[in-house]
Amino acid sequence: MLFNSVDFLVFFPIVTLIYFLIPHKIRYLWLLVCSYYFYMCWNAMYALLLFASTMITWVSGLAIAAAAKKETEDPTRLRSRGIVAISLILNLTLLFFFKYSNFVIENLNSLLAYTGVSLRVPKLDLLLPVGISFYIFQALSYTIDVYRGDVQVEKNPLRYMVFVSFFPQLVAGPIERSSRLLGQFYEKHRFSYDRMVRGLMMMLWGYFQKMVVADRLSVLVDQVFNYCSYYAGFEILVGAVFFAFQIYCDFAGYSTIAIGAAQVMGFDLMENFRRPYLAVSVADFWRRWHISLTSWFRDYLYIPLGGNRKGKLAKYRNIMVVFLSSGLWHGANWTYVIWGGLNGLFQIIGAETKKLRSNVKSFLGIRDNSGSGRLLSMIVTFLLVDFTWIFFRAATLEDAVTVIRQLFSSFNPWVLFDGTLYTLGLSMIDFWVGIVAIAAILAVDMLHERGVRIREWILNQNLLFRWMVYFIAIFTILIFGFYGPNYDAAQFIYFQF
Amino acid sequence: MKSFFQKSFKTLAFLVCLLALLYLFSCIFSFKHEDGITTIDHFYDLPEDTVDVLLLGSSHMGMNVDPSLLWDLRGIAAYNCWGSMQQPWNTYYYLKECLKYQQPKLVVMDVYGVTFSGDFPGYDNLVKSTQGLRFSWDKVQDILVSAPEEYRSALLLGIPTYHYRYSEISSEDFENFFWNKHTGIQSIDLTGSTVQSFDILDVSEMKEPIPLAEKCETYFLKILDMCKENDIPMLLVASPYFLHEEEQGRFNRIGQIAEEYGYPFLNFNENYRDIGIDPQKDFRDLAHMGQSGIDKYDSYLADYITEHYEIPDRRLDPDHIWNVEAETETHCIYSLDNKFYGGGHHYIDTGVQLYENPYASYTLLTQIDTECISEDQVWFSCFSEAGDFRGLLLTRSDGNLYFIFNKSKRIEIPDYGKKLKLAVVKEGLKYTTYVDGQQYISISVDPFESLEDTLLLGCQRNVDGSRFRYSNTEVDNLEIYDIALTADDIAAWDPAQLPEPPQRQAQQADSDAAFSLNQRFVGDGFSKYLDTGIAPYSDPNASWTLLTQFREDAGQGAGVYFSSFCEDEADYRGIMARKVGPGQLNLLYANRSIITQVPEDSDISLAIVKDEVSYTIYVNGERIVDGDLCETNPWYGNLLIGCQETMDGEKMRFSGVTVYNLEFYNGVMTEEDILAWAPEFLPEPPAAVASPVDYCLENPFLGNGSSSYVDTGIQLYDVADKSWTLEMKFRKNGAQTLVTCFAEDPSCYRGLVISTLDNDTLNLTLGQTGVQLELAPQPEQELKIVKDGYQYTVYLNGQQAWEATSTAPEYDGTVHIGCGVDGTGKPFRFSSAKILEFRITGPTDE
Repeated sequence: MLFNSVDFLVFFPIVTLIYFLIPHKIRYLWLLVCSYYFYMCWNAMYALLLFASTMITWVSGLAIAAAAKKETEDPTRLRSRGIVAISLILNLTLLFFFKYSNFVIENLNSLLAYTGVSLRVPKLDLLLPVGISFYIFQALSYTIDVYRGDVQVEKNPLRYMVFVSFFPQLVAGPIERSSRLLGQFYEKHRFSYDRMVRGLMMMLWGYFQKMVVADRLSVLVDQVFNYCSYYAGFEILVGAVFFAFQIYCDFAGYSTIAIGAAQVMGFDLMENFRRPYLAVSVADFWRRWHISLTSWFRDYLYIPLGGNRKGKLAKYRNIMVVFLSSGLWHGANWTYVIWGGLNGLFQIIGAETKKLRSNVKSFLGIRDNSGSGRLLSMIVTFLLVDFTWIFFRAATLEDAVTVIRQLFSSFNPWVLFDGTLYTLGLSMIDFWVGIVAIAAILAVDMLHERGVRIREWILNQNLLFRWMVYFIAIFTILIFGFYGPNYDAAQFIYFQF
Repeated sequence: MKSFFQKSFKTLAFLVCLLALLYLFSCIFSFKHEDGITTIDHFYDLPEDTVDVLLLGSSHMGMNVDPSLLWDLRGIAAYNCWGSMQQPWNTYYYLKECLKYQQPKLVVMDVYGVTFSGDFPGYDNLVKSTQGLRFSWDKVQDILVSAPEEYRSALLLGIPTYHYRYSEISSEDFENFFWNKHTGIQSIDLTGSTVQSFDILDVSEMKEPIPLAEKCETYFLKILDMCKENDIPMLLVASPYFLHEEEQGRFNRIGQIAEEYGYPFLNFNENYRDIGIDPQKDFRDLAHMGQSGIDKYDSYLADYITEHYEIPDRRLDPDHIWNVEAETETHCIYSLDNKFYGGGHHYIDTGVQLYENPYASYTLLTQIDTECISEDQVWFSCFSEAGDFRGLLLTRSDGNLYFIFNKSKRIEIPDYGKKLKLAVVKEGLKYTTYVDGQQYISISVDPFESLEDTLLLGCQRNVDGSRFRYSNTEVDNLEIYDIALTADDIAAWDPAQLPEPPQRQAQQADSDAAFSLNQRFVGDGFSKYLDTGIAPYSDPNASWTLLTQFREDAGQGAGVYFSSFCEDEADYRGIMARKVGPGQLNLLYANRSIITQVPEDSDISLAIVKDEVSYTIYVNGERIVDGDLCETNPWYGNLLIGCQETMDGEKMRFSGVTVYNLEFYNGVMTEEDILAWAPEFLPEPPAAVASPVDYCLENPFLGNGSSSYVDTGIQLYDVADKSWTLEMKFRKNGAQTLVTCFAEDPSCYRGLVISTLDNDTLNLTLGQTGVQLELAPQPEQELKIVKDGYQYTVYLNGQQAWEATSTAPEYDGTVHIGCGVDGTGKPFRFSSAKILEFRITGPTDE
């Protein structure tokens, strides 16, 4: 069930209404039923996978808690470590099998062909379960948190199941920690009109990002990237810039809808995006982009590997490990690995050239804390990040190379003015709606960056103005959103991860 | 608690506002397809008891059966609730919906849709067959049964199907709110349709039924059952089209079912010839008929329906909405403001197309003065002179007054006095005439093609669109209605006494000329002409007077004295005077051409007076054309003296004419003034003063072949017959341009070019003639050219080498050494010429 489907527009109000009508004690059960139904709308069988991962981590939690009692005198905590290892292995095996087995087989076959061996391993007929990377990471965090003692073990399997399967964030995050979310299923949420309005406003903004911006831009992006050899120079550049906003609005749109939907029901999900394209360095970008995943890798991989405490080289190694893993987490394709690697590399280069850059800026009279200095940093960061997005978007490495080659093959700025851009899949009016929408996204991000709380500001206006804003928002989405039979219903990009 | 109620109320109010806005949004953005959505959407606007005959089916019904025609023919109040590719289940739900609002006395269904495969017809057709229905459980059912699952929710909500239309919203989309009622009678728009010829399959031997698709048969039976249950008779039809064998088999099965139910089934694929339909002429595509086919088909259906069912003639029901609209709206589409008097070239174009739809009703009421000077006169006409002679014409011939209708069917009007009150009422193909308020003769005509011509008073229109048979007739009053008035209305018509038309006054000529030649024009026959800046035919109905004096001897060139003439072979038009032979003056005006004899080598006086489309021409004071009526199309070319121009504006046919005077006045000058016009001849233009010719090259010129040249500043041809002597000494250096003073004018190349083609050949262009001379063996050559008037003498190395005469016109360019000069005045063709000495002097005796 997609957030931007009629089904969800029916599902969500019913779930919410009943949630607040039934007694508090059984609300989590209602959410469990609804969450599993939500997930099973894609493929009922894969609910078993969700269930399996949930059960593995729940049992491992109990086992760790039981083992912990016997390990009070054992600083090595071998037993608990063993249980954590088993949980990790089982969960990662599930993830590997469904997500990476065909990738490995493909590469194995390529290697065999390269070495002249005629043997071919047949590929598996598997459909990638929606959101598997998200819920397995969320479940694993529970195992590790229990081991670390950061969270109390949850004895009620059903309540734990809701934590893993909570429908707003089940398939595309934010990847919540048990320490933040699990406890919220114990809280008694009363219906709050104001909270509902705030949640709905969040959802509206999310729908705008997804339906008006991301899905609109995707038309041009698909055209340029799918037929990259036919385009060159500024056409590719526009395609790449549009993709940067497409992926942002697609993913952030989902997270915003999820956070808003949860808020309507009284839950507080973590912020997942914090104005990423206003970042002034690649490292800063990663503090703002997909925060729940970045922090997961930070807490459960980067720091255990030693973080930045064991010298510069070890730190750089850890960064590369984290970003290559992050790349692989996003997809079973070398393009993602390179994307992750480039992001890691940029950060290392950034750290290594920090002094040099500072000297150059000083020589040129550019002050980092000035508006123009920040703008320059933002633009450079955006271009670097956007360059990596080429690998993220390209279907194959060959495609990525073609896109980059075509990008630099021609200097044709006139395509920005001679109407060529209107031949890339979007009509003139749709193109300009897209540009205005991007401008709106950036404007809102800039206001947020300056500390303006737009939602609160709107809520403090008089009723007429508020309603006008709501109606304009609703009808902007209704009119300019890409949905319905005349458009291919675009899935949220991050569902595939 | 107070807060709870406040918030509940606020939420409710918000939802109400949202719903209201959604309604407005859907009114504007929703589809308005005329082939499926507006058919049912506008049906809801009709008041109760409006529709007697409900028409259902696919485009075979919608594009072939015209309710306005059924109304015009038989007063049948029919409504066509069709849809493009309408499936039987859509037909079923449309019928079900219609019966909620109207109680038709007959349902006519085209069963082409029943022969469908029962498969999904495509998303667009799905939209057309579901989105016009009001929201109801039946609409839900219609969607569920019609649409694949992926489209159902979108179709149910509507907005997902049409929200993207923001780039195509037009004014039409703002006429769909609940306060906009579309209650007019439907008609078929055939704009832009053409004829498609084909043969219809011969089905006379195909009697075997072929089973219908299960889903189609199910819903077809449901339709029949519903009509039975509601006690509504049903007529099943299949319009003729390019059908296949299998479809005929299915029609046979439909015939069986119809028989079981006792409903007639008219399969016109079997008997289309009987009703006169010709697939070679009567179709606009393989499935739909053109106007001629529709006329025949609908006429037959209208007759069949009135003969076999008790369908009232609603034209007689004054309360029926289509009559109420007819009465409440103004149906007088034309009324004469002033009396009309024909004569000369006078006529009135009413602008009323009586036969745009040959089945449309109209009433024409008029009072005429029957006296006229001659026979073969026309009071009014809207009549095609093409082979089939169709339309309406009131004329007198052989002493009798006639209404002439189609195929020259005519009604002779009996004894009449000086003033005669006449009326023609057309209902479908039936005409009823009235004389002095009393019903006279009625006739019916065969179906005929539409006619785009408008009703004219005082003349007729020819096949090519021009007017003819201008008549000296009088119409005292005329009113035209686009409905058939009753006999009572006609009897009660008392024509008002219209005012006399304002007396026509010819536009008097202005006292000042719009153009007046200020200096005698003497052409050179090469390039000289004068553009007056006047475009006499920019308004072909303008009045003007042209007066001129010129010399008959046209000298060199094409002999054109003046012209503003369009050289379009298909439509020569404008004005021109030219000499076509000794003493033969050719005058062209409008699209006429005459030749008149004038004394050779004499001075001619010519006056052309154009009074709108009437021409009077005087030559040497004698009127040779008197009020010749001649219409023409506009031409925007200027009046030129001494040449003509092509349609592209390129000047041509330069003429060495002498025009002493030419004056052009807006308006008509009186004959007295014209005959009195004899001004002194304008003086000859002052003779051009030749510029001095005296130049000597100081240093030898050694061209670099890329940029070096010398502009001597000396004009050799500023006066055409200028005399000069050019002497030069040059060193041979292969093919080189040595000296030029040459006009690169494609219409008249002329001047001087001295060049070498190689070390043995000298190439000379002098005026408009040229020669190639053999150079002597030595490297240095001496050349001398002497021009005396138009006479050239060439000396090479001291010997006279050539002599010629060339009367090239003047050229204002200067002598250049080592290059040529292009049409824009820029040097080009740089050469590596080695000019050792160069001198130009004035006339010489040598």
